[in-house]
Amino acid sequence: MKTEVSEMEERKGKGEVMSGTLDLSALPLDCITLIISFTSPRDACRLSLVSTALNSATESDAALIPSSLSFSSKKQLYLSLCENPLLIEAGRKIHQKERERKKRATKRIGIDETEFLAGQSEWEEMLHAVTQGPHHYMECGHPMVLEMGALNPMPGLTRLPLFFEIQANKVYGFDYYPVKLSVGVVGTEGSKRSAYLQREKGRRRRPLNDTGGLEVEMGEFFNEGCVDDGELEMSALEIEYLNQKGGLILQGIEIRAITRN
Amino acid sequence: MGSTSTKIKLRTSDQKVFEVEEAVAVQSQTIKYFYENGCPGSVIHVHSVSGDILSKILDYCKKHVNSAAGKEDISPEELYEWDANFVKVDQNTLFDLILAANCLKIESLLDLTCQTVANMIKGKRPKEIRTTFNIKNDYTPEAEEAVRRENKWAFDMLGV
Repeated sequence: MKTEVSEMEERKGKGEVMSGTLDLSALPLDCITLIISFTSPRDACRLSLVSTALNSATESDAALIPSSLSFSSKKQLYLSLCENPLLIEAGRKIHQKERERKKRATKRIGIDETEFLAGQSEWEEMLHAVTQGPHHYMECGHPMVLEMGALNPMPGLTRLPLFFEIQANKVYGFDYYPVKLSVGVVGTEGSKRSAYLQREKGRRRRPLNDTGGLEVEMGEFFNEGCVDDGELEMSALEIEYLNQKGGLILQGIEIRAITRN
Repeated sequence: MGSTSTKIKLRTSDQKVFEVEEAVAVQSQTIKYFYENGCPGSVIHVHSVSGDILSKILDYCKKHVNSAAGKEDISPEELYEWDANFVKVDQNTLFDLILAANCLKIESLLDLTCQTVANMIKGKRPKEIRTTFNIKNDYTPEAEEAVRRENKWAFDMLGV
């Protein structure tokens, strides 16, 4: 008596396996999905352009998405994160968005999110590692440091206005006294200004952006093309008034490059 | 069921018969199922796998069973190296291994082979992927443009 493994034939789909040249999309969907899961989201997007069959495979990896997130595929999730920065993992990670405008490119940098920086257009050459670890609460006297790679790959870049974004509703203790902000290359005199971190105080009520964050302009960084390397330091200090403060959660840092055209 | 020396008979698509140690054969969840639910001593037909491929797969299973059981003195690094050499095969063989691992449900082998294909995909342009895997572009120009637009950010870096 013989036991038939007939199930195998069904699962195999197109059948004749042993000879001829196989194309990738002839593999069972399970296998393609598994292969995609071993690549990166970026590779998955490129795969979708290879053929219609592979495109459907990149869309159907729903099983790989944590069920708590309502995205139909990893690719959709990733694309969505590129469009809308959001707090995930209870605020430990922030995804940046990238917008290209005619004359202005903006880049939002998430804290502790260096991996997402890699491979994102020309900015990659310009800015590497973000801050020194997951300091989401700016500590008193604790500056944020951005390590800067070569600045030269940005042609015509002269001026970098820097913003940081905070979760506006949670901040307290910053309403009467402004915070001193500075931006500059470590070891040099940077640009300095001060700002109120609460939206109601100061001269006017400031608008929230579309993600509910309050943007605070930190200052400008001038690059005359001579700085190739070094660390750009940003700091926000309030050490004169010893009132109780808290709730300062940094959502991200945005650097807007104004390119000469 | 049975001692470790029990042999299981497997017949491949090209009618070759393999006698395999139970411990090795049951690395395949499919064979395990048929072995445990079929008649003792019967031959299990592995229709979708050729003799050449099955012989390679059994080598793989044997290696991993022996190393796990301590029968063979092999460090994890050496086993990793062995695996890496195992998948250094031509593309058709690699795909056959994937199909067979999928049918026979040998998870570690499926991961290994799929990872190998993934490594061949990483960082490549769509055109290069088509060439590598002999895939025909079946997009209409309009549909291709639409997908390209949707995933624009993925192509920016490569200048595709």
